[in-house]
Amino acid sequence: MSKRKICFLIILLVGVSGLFAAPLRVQVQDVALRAKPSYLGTVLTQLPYGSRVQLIQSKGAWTEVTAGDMSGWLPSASVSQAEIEMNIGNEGATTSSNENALAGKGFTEQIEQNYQKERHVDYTWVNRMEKIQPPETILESFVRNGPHGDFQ
Amino acid sequence: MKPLIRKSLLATLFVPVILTLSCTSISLDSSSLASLVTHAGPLLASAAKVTDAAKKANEQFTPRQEYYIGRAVAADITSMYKVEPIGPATLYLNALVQVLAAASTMPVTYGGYHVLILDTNQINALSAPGGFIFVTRGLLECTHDETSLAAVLAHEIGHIENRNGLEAIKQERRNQVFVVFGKEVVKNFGNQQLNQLTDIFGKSITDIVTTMINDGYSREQEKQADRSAVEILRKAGYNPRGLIEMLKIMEVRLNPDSGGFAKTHPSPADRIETLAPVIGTKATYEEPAAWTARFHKYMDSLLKTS
Repeated sequence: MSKRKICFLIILLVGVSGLFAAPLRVQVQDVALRAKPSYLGTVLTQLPYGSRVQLIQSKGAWTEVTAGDMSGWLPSASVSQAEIEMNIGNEGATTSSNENALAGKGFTEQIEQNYQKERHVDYTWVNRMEKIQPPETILESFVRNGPHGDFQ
Repeated sequence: MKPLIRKSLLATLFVPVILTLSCTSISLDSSSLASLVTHAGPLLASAAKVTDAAKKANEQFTPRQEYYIGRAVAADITSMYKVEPIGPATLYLNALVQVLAAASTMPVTYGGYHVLILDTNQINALSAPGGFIFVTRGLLECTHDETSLAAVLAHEIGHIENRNGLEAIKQERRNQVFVVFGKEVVKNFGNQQLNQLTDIFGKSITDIVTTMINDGYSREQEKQADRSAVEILRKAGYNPRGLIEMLKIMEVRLNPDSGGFAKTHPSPADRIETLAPVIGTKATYEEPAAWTARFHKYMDSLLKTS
């Protein structure tokens, strides 16, 4: 193989590996890393907000990633290539200027606490609502009897 | 080192950088907007530029910011209505919403999708940004099987995925948010800044709640939510005619002077007409017996006590 071809291959391989190693962050409170690209896939682990993962491939609504020593699938909407707001103390938080900018940008928990205190807003039902977990019996019924997607 | 090999090695160093830059182009919009105002100073705060930038900033509410807005809107809604205690019907709706959300263009949100039943005979449903959905007992009475119930939830998911709640925040507020956020970039706000942002936050919540409860979304937003509902139902595996079925029952039960849905939504007849080219006007369909049985198992205790 000529030197020119070897050089081209080096560039190509590094470029492709760069694409596949694109860093992503989890942008939802927590998300299940699944063994296959389906909500029925086995849950390998839960990843909290801000977790760093490496992109392997995107396939429609699902994205394959590596997280630490595990690899699996996440809903594509649960990860972002954008830098996200991190609280002080968030694991893996960096202090790049962009992240600092975003940290001060959003309506945050700090704003909510002040709003709740100043306006005497009652979040009791909201907190209760977020903790609702449908029992396994109902979820199993959907898995067993459907619907199973794509109405014909 | 031979020139060709040296060039190749240099290229290997730069290719990943170029690729990384292209991969992170999405983040450049949001972060560069914030740093633009931060570093460029007051001159940049000319009305035109702020308006333009605020438009972009609004598009970039992150899922987490949307979540905090949604929580506050949800807190307002639960303070206005009596909430049905969490029982089999609420648990069933929370399972069903997961199935439907998975078929939407926004399958996950920062805090997930959640549903509560509001204990009122008024026909209405409300959805707050980020996945907080409220359905009245009166609207649930317009459903008689799982497909028509799924149609109610799919319409609300439609509003969430189309971000209609965030669109209700007035432009003036968005400009203020952008100016305040851009002034100083800190992780913990000073008292003055915190109070200023809390005030804007509160007014933004009022914008959304006023639109949802008093004014209603625009006819186009309602049509779009119906179109989204059809797509969600189809993708999940439900016959989208369930939406027509639910609207036909609603048409009979809805008192045009009753407020709620009647005040904030186009009439059921209008909605059926709009949907006609997409799914026809017939409400006839059959759903598997197991789905109907599941609907009755969890919903009857609620609907029979109405």
